Amino acid sequence: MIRLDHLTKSFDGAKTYAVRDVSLEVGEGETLVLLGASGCGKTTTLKMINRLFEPTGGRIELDGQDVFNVDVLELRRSIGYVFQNIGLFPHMTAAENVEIVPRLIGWSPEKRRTRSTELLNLVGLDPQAFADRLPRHLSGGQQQRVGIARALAADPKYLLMDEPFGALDAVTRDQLQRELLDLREALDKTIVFVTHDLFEALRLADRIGVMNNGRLEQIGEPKELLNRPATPFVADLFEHARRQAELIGAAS
Amino acid sequence: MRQRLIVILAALCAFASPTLAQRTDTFRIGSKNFTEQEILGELVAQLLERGTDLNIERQFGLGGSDICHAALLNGELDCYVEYTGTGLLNILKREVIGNADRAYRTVAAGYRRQFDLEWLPPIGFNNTYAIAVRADDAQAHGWKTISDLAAVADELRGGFTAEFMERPDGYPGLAEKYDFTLGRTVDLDPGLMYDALADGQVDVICAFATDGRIAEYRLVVLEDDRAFFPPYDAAPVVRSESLAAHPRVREVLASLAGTINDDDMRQMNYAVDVLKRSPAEVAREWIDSRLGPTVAPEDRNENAAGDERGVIALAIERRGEVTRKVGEHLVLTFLGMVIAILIGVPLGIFIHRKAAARGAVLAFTEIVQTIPSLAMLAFLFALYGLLGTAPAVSALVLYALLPIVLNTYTGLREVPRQVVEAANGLGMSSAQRLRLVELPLAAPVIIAGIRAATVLTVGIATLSTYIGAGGLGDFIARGLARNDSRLTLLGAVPAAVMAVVLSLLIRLVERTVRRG
Repeated sequence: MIRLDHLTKSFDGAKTYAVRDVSLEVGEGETLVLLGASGCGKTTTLKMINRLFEPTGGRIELDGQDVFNVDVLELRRSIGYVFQNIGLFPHMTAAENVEIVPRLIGWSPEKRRTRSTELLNLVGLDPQAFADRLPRHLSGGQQQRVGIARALAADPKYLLMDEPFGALDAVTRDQLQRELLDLREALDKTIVFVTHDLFEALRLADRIGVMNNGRLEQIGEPKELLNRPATPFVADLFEHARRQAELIGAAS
Repeated sequence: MRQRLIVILAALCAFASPTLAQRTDTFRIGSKNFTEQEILGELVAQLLERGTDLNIERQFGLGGSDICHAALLNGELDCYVEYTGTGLLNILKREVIGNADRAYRTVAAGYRRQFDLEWLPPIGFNNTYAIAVRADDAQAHGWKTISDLAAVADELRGGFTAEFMERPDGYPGLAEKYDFTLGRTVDLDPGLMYDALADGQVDVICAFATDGRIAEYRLVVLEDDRAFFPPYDAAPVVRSESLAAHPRVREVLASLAGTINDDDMRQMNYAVDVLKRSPAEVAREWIDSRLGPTVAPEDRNENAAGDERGVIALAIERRGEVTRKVGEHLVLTFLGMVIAILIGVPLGIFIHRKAAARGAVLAFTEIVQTIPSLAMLAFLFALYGLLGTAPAVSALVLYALLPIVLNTYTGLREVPRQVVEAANGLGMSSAQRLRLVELPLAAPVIIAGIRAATVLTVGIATLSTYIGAGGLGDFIARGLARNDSRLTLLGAVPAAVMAVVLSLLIRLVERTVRRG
């Protein structure tokens, strides 16, 4: 379980706040989507969970333990992280990228190779064809599949995903969203997923946390947000999306 | 860790520097970097080789009186031939003494008291400075004495050695004594001065009285009518300690006393400078003519009878020596680069991480880069008190630092931000990030910096000759000193080839690193 307690972050010595007083819980096996426009504080919140940013105030607990009482490197290695701009190591092959965390925690080369083969299969990349390719010889979708496999390599309990499909075209994004749903069924991970795309949020989330201006506007199941928006911001968000959906309905 | 590194570096330098190894039966003879000095050095060396069992080492072509003197003081040299005027004015910093005997006695006493160095009896000739002009000009203007130049001094261009420009008994004193200044002066290499005058590039030079080229180039020496130039009697200067340890040295070198007059010396210089014969051979002939011929002593590959052979013939004939000098040059370059990499790459990493130190470190390496190489060599020699490899390699290291540090820093800075973030996010420690991600990605840029530094180093290493560190610069300096372009090419061409080949090899490494 992930618990954020009155979490606050300021980058400029308390003049302005990127994240203000955010409190929430993510249950075992749950997928929480943080939804909001760029600059709303959702990525900052995510990065504080594995201590890429230090909070200005508040607490973060993983399974009841304050993350500041855990060695920062061990913490990060125990949390899978999928980056917005993918961030594959350009000088390492797909397999080497997947094996990086196992390598850091000292697995044997054989065990690492078995694991990367398994994971490349899992994310739909034939190891025969892709294991030894460098990232620049992969398409964007293939790169992010490697990115997901890399995050899963050491079998972490938690997965943090920072707009992982933001840079992909619509068709590839749709495909990867579907595969992520399948993966979730198979793997039982606790996931925090950041996106600005309402439809992506609706599709993937058990619960959605809507963020605006550093604050958590509302958190709840998609149906709840849709039917009982707590703030005008949340209401507008869904109203806007509804009109878009109607446009599509009218056209078809 | 850092201490261990320093010990390793010191050991490398020590290993590379043959001059550090103390051998008691070795006697080291030096010379400055012009023809007469090499002939005199050879004379002393060959006489001692014949007359003693000492193992004679030659450290010829050193870059000036100050370096020779310092080397004598700290035991890097046992002996070299110096001139009374130089000892009096440059080393002892005394006033000019016009009388030759008194000058010799003063200098000998001063050296014994101040430096524990002994002047052996003078060899006989007086190689004072002389003001030389083209014979045609002298005839046209009716110049006989230096005073005659005063009337047209404004229109004359002087070409003087760097030493002459600064010495109290050089141009400043001359201008004062004769009360005129020349319209323009340029600093010239001693070897090029005569050509510059003969070609009409300058009108007045500071010739040496014993120079063989005065007659050859149709020059005349103007009379020193105000008796400005002090006597420059040549005599061997030896460490008192070495004389005490090897008494035979005094006896053997006594045979030189008063044996070579101005004319003899001029002819020997002429044989080398104009007839392109080697100093070793000219010295051997002179000894043979006095002491009777013996079996030819060790051939130092210097016996090329000059004439008009091309540079290729010369290279083939002296291939053994060329190979040896290429080897020395490679060792200098290699040592310099290895140490520069061991220092420069960590320094580049350091300033990438510590922004506060960046400005200072880069400014330091840039300033070092602007220090003239010869000044740097002279400075490092003074710092170490040693001739040879250690100060030479140190200079190379200092010059190689900028490209290595700068490229290491640039290479690291150019690692994409998202890749660094991924490394952090996945839980790499800062050392792991450096080893697994940053250095591999920066490697092509770092290696490009190493390539630039290597080319630079091969070039600068040619100057190591001036502090006796050997290498291809020996040929270049000798060629310049004797105005023999074939000798210069014998050093310059292999150095250029070496730079190109090393650059290509490193580029291959660069390509391999930039894989895929």
